[in-house]
Amino acid sequence: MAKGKKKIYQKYEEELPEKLLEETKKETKDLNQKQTEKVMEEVLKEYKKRQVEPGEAAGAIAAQSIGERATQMTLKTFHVAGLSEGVSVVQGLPRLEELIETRKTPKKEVCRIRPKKEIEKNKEKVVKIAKKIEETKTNDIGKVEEDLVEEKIIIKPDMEKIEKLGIEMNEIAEKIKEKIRRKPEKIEKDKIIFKPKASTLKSLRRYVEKAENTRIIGIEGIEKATLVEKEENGETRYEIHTDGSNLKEVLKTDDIDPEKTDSNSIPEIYKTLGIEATRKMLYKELMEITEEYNINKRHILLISDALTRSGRPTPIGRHGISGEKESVLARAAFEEQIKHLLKAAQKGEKDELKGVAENIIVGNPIPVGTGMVDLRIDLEKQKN
Amino acid sequence: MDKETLLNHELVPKHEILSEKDAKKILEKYGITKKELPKIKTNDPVIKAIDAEEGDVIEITRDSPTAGKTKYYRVVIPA
Repeated sequence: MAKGKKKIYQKYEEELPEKLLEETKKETKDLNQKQTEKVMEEVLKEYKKRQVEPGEAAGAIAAQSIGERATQMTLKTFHVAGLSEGVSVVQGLPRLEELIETRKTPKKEVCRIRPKKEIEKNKEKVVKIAKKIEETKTNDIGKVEEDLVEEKIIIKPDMEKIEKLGIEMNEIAEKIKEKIRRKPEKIEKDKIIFKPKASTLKSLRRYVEKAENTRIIGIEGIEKATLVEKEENGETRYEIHTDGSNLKEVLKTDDIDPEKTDSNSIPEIYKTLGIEATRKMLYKELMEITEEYNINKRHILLISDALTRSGRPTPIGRHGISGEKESVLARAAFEEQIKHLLKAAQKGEKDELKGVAENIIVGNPIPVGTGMVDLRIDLEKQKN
Repeated sequence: MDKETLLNHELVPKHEILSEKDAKKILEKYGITKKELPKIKTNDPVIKAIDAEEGDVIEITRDSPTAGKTKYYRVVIPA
């Protein structure tokens, strides 16, 4: 590339976004310096023309764009799709609500686990990982019986099942020992006997329950791990999707690619990967559910930014963005008027009248669009 | 999970601590004070990993679906 042209591009690096600059670079490849200069000027002019104008109520427009489609979505509520994927996911309006309210406990949490590159095409090995992740309790691999006369607990695992999972009797005994804090009395070939010092039958029962619910292998909270086939460049690779999510522990699993493994649970992403990852995931998930409704990306981007602005996922609504507004009048206009007004009076709060709602209430022009413009006197010029 | 995995995770964009001078430049460019920047908490896993402190301005280089790459700024606040 000619030196002169490079300099021209550099001049515009600050002002044009990367993608646009790259595109214009491609288009102006065959032009000479003077022509390029001219083109760049025009591009910048057009770009500036298309920017959102100062004072535009971008938030209200985003809300409208999504609200309108959400009405359509209501008709499709509770539509269950993706049975072939093995793991059912909350979709449509309920999911949209969940995301926008950034609920602490989403209904269906799913971890999407990417195996390591070397083995992602090997079904057997991926199945092995899935087996290791799935939470398996004593109940799932056998029976726990109680001997009321001798005050014993007898654990009888299903030999076929534990062989398939590759668990040994010692491991089971060890796990249960940890849980009920009693040493096993005897480990036989097909059963383990515990003799806890239970004074009453009731407490013996409690030991049985504890033993039944002991996690032998797997990760807490992962109820089911399902293999999902993905088609990529004509080749099939496998992913593991789980029912229930525990991202922090899942990321520690061997033989997976932790950098590409994620979860659809916003609270978990926030805890393990931070606020920026949360924003990205919110955007991804919102885009996915609104895909068929063709909402402009920019609205979704704005919403994901608004939801993560305060450093934690903030719900829209009473306990979030609307309920934490600075202006008393704006808060009172939304919900719970009396509570807000009383509290503000007690504290002697002051309303700066900077927002929209409060200015409507007091009868001022709202600071949106042309209402944002103000007159100021240049004192320096007045002196002369 | 170690630091490396966290910082290289697909969902985590690049976070950088800005020097006092650069931070001032940014604030001047947008005509705002530190208080008005979006926030990030001190107990955020990424903030812990890059050893940022309260009051630091963090420059985040995001992949933007519309613009290619964009810069975003957050100020570190106590948890």
